[in-house]
Amino acid sequence: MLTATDLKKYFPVERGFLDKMLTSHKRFVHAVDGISFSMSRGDILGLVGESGSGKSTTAKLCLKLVEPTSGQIAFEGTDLTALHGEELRRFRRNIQLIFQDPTASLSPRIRVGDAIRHALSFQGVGTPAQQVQRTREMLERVGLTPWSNFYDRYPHQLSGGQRQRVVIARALVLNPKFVIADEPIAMVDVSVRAQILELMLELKKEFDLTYLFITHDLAMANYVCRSIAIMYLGKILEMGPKEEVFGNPLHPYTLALLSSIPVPDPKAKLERMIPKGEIPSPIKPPEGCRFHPRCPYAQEICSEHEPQLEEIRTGHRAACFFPRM
Amino acid sequence: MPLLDIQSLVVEYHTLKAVVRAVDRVSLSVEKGETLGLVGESGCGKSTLGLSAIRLVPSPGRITNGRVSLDGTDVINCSDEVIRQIRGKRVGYIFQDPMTSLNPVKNISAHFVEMIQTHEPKASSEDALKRSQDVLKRLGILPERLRDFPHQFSGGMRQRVMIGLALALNPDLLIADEPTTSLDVIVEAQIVELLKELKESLGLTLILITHNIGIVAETADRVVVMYAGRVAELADTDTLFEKPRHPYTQALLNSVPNITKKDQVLSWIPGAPPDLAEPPLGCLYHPRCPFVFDRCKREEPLLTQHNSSMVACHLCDKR
Amino acid sequence: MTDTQTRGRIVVQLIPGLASLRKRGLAGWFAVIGLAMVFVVVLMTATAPWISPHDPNEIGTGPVLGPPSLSFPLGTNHLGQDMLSRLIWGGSTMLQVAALSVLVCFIVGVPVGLLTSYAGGLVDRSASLAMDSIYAFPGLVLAIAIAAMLGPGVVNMSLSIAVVYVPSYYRIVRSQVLSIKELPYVEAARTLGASGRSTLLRYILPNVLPSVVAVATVNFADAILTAAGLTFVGLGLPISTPDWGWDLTYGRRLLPSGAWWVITFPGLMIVILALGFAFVGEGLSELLNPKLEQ
Repeated sequence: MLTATDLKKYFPVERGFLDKMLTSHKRFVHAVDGISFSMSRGDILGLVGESGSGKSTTAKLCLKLVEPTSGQIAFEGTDLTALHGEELRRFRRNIQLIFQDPTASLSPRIRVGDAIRHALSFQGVGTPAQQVQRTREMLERVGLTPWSNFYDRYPHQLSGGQRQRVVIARALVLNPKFVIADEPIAMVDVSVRAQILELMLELKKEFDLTYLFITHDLAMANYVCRSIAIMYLGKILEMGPKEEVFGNPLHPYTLALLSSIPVPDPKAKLERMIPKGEIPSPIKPPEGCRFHPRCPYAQEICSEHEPQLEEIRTGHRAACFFPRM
Repeated sequence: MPLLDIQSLVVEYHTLKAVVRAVDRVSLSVEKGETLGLVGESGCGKSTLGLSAIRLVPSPGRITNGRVSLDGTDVINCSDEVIRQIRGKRVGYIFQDPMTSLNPVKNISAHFVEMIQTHEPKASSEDALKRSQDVLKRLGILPERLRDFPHQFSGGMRQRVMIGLALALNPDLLIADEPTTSLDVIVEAQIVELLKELKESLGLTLILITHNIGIVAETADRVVVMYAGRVAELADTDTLFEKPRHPYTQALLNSVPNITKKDQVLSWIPGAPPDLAEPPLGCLYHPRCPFVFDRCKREEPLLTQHNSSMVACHLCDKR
Repeated sequence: MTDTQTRGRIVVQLIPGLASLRKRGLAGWFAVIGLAMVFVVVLMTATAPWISPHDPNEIGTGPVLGPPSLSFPLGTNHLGQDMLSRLIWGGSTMLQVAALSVLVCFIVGVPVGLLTSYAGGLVDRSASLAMDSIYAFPGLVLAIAIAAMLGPGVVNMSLSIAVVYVPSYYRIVRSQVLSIKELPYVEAARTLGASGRSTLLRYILPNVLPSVVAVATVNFADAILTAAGLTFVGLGLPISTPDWGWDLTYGRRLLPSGAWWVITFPGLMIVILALGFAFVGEGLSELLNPKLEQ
């Protein structure tokens, strides 16, 4: 359904006046640096990574909210890079986004019902009366019943969880086939998160959706996703079915991530493999394997050559010269 | 005698619309050398409680009742001079957001020197500098970096600087408010390991305020669960996770994904926390509680002992 | 919802906002006091034909330079015109000029600001440069220069004042648009397929308007002062129109001869009106900020 091929996005770094005068050397943030993946219909892929990994930028690329520096994205055969203007606007019906911050992604001066209805009116779907009807149905579908209690409310009158449901309703009212969820529960209370996730899974069944989850929360990704791709500094380091990636991790970074998550069980034995240092700047990523300066298993070759994403086990790929088998 | 003793603390926010009780008759104590986890979701009052310990509740909040005693000193009623001595020297506080807690125009050594000299005016700059270098070394920051400015540090490093500042004067108590919330997974683990190590080597007394149950499980000796300004449950960590007694604690633990558990089914709590401007009668949790019965709607449950936990729930009284 | 309805909604939202002014503490008080001041002056001006004791233009109504007395509470000027009547009538032109200039500023400044800053790039840069150049001029000097070119009359005065203040509106709109443009909900609108026009009108404009309204009210005060300045200097209005600005001019000249009442009362009225609008602006800008909901 969605195929990304060698996708790259570099953002130019703002240079001071003197810099511009004295040097011609431009600097770039290598937000996404050559990633390739594909998703089939009905998939739930979790794009997991820490800050600077490029996962949010990847989401924006898939929606064409930013233009790729190079590479291609194809959705059901259509090359996204070739779409512009009005065509692109119409195309937006197919891929929608659920935002991270439910408060910031709703205009404080637009009533919740209208915010959802706008999606339909922007795309010219149905008559105004039909749009209102569909919005009401959608509100109920996401659990905001009765719709009359919610349609005319402003975002600040709803709880965080309710706001996120409005965002979901808005994203799904156009019947998109593909939904990208960017940290959909990060800003929702802990005790309500599972409810939002269950809602998303139910809606997936009902509307036959395909999900791309962007998150740094491995436990959440484990709960909800079918396949996982681990990103670091603009590259995908490991990719495969969830059970494989989390059950038999190959890449040392994946191991590090897994051993770092806090486990809500005081009796759990933790074998920590915490890499030293911090994530380097994406402006000047390390040579060779991006993770090598922090990797406890790094060898000389890791600093000289960059490992490619290769299939190590069936369906399970890793970009490492010395995968942990 | 406990290091920090809080008795029936009430903190109210006087807004134009209503009086909101952010902290409602909370009593707890922290012994020397122990790590207490203060757990709850947003709006439960845990941050306000932490700030009350050093009398830093922001207006329009006010401490309207109760006692806070730090190793014998009355925090609420003491003079301004005494409270200033307490802040920084006897209690170190780590605020939630390291981005905004550091002065962007001062370098790190300036932060430390200011901190030390405010409390020990006789200390020389060289002495202060040496002490800060020692503290930072312990936290894994190279001494050269003392000359750098906050924006030159990454999030994790800044948080370490904050911890260093909090520890600079060897306080008896360290209060950390969501110390890892804005950090990446791996950095979070690094900070948690650091806190554990400091606890061992310095015999640190720590109050860890967070909504992250995972790090509480790892670091705390005892846990206090707060809901809507009241204490729901108080127990030592093992007991709390193994046998949670309050329905809220149970629901909360069931809603957190545990990657080590296979085929976990997560649950959630329907509804939302109460509007503290118009709280419900009786138990504040009753509108969302699956075990609610008549008494819950009328009478507020008091925190009572049940086996080795303290629970505020009528259900436990029944048994 | 059509755009008219949106605009209607915005106005409707402002009105209940006014109703709840009382509850909002100091900011509310400012707004209420300011409104009261403005209201009194406007009322006085509006009912001038009925409450004015004499014809303000009639020469020789009373003694020349008569001090305040029972028959002429505010005294008379050098032409024997009743100062009280002149005071009551005098505000009307001032208010008209100020209102018209604010309207023009709104009609020009807001759309230009919206469109150019949303478009970004060269368009934004050029507009910014143009506006900054106008802004750099001292207000009164520029107004005088333009008024001198255009000649007298209410409309011309309004235009000269408007030119001076359009950059203020433009700037506030631009700064708001630039920050709102990056907010998630605007991005959300784009992902939903909103056209540029819809995004601007339904998502950006409603969030920009409150600040503009606040600027407009404070601007009103400024406009009044500038209008007074223009007539004081002798530009803008034909001499037969009763106007506080004229009274100020003549009052100044008459001051050495001891006739303090000619300049004082009109001056006081200008101050009250200007202050009133300033208070309303201050109060409004705090109130319309949704963050105050805390």
